[in-house]
Amino acid sequence: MRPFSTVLWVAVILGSGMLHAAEVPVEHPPFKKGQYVHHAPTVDDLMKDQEIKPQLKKVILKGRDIFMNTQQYRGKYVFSRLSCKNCHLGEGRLNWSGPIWPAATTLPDYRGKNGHVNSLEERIAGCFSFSLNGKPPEYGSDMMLALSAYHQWLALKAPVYETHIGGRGYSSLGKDIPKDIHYVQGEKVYQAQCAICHGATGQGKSVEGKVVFPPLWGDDSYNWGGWYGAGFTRRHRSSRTTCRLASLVP
Amino acid sequence: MMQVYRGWLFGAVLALTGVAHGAGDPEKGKLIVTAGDGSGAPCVACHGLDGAGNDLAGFPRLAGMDAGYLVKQVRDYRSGARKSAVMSPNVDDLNDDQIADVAAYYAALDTAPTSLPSGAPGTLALGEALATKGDWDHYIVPCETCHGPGNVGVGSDFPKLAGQHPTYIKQQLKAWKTGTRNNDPNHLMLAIAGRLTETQIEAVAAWLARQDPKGGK
Ligand code: HEC
Ligand code: HEC
Ligand code: HEC
Ligand code: HEC
Repeated sequence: MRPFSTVLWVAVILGSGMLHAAEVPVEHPPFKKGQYVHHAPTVDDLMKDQEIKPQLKKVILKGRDIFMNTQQYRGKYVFSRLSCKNCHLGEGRLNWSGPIWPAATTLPDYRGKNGHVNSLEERIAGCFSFSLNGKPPEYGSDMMLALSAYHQWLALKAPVYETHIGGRGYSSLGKDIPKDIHYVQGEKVYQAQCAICHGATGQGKSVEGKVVFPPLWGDDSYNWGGWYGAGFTRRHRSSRTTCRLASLVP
Repeated sequence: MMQVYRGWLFGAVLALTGVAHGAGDPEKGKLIVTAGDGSGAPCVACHGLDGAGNDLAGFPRLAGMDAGYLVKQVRDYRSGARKSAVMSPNVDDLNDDQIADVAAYYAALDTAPTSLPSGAPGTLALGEALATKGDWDHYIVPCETCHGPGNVGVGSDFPKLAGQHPTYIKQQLKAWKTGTRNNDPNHLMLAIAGRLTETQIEAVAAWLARQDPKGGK
């Protein structure tokens, strides 16, 4: 017992020493009671998975590629300068940053927003039309198939039709708009926290034509259905948290 | 109508010359590189006239880096916002114009990178994955998200990493981790460095150092 506790103490001391090292904490809201937390698989997991046929792996990887670099379809399916991954951070896997796999475990389902039972493809199409300022690929097309396969594979082993999902969507700052919110104050926050990446006027930054920091508004961003279109509360809560949660903004 | 147009044009010309003025004179810069700031050692002694630096000694490569970034760093050494016992005494007597001049000199250089022996494939693969895909499960954003495609840098805020010496890259990442470098805007770099393990630091430095500073493959 003695040697063990000594080892333990050394570990604790080393541990606290490491905590002293400089670090920026990741601030996430706590998961609620009764929610389950899904750990979406990684590409490394996919490559190692013996159960998934090589032909399917190829299609999943194509879906991932479309998701990560949707700009390859600029002018055809995308008219903004955004890619899916710009809003759904960390390959669409990251909790609190718009993980995409819940759509694969909860759809088809009835959505009050459009008044009918929606499919996964329809959800994906919605993000093309409204978040990418684009035109969705045909239902049943190779592109749609690849994208759905990517969503579904990310949901691997998650329970179907279970909606108590921890970290779904973006962390909410609440539904009520604070009374003291003010344009001038917002501009100050923007210039101090966001402008270094998204540019002084929110136009984004590119290097040799490739978008590095995406634009936040206008034709190069999205028209109305992204979070800006979904009402002020949503904009208020998601835009700040996207970058916060990726710890792009500590 | 014409009047308004001319007014704009005049403004634009003024703005342009303004920028050109602040940009520094590489010819004057070259003199400072060889003569130094008057009290410390001349830059050439450590960074070289060609800005190649030296890997083993931990002297960074300055050739082809963004002038605005270099200016910020030298000013930070001068003010004490960035500390280095070896480096700071060499620049603390430079004035703003002189700093702009040296920065313009080094930024304009097109020096070939020093060649490194081929690294261990496993290490390089890990380094490449960190730089281009990140390690999101540990909130490590890919380096190229901020340092740009090919990690060649984005403007004056996000410096070029491609082709930088591995020893220097490692030193800087560890300096952030231990709190000895903290001049990064909004602690953007601290957030990343603080989460990197020793193995990851080793790997990412090895991979970045072997990339083309101009972004070619
Ligand atoms: C401009 C930002 C933006 C872009 C670009 C974007 N989305 Fe979305 N997406 C959102 C927002 C906002 C939501 C709603 C999240 C919420 O409910 O809080 C969402 C929701 C989703 C959902 C539903 C997730 C769930 O929890 O059920 C899926 C699936 C999805 N997006 C897929 C995509 C795909 C595929 C693309 C690219 C073709 C894309 N998105 C591009 C902003 C974006
Ligand atoms: C360190 C650079 C950085 C900072 C600072 C930053 N962002 Fe971002 N932001 C990004 C990057 C990079 C993306 C795209 C994410 C990706 O592709 O992985 C992004 C994506 C976004 C998006 C979704 C895509 C779009 O274009 O609409 C919004 C909204 C956003 N940021 C808002 C903000 C706000 C508001 C702030 C300040 C509170 C901020 N960002 C600060 C780098 C940054
Ligand atoms: C005695 C050697 C030495 C001399 C002389 C020297 N430097 Fe340095 N320089 C260093 C070292 C070592 C570092 C890295 C220090 C650190 O860890 O912050 C450095 C860092 C720098 C950096 C930061 C680079 C980056 O990528 O962030 C700049 C810029 C710089 N030096 C410019 C100069 C200039 C200009 C002069 C001459 C006026 C000069 N140095 C003279 C050793 C030297
Ligand atoms: C969120 C944005 C962001 C990300 C992601 C990021 N960096 Fe940085 N990095 C910065 C900024 C900003 C600076 C400049 C700090 C300053 O101005 O002093 C910097 C500076 C550096 C420097 C010092 C360069 C020099 O010349 O002194 C190194 C080394 C570095 N980063 C390595 C990395 C590595 C390796 C990764 C990926 C594992 C990475 N960075 C990811 C923002 C970022």
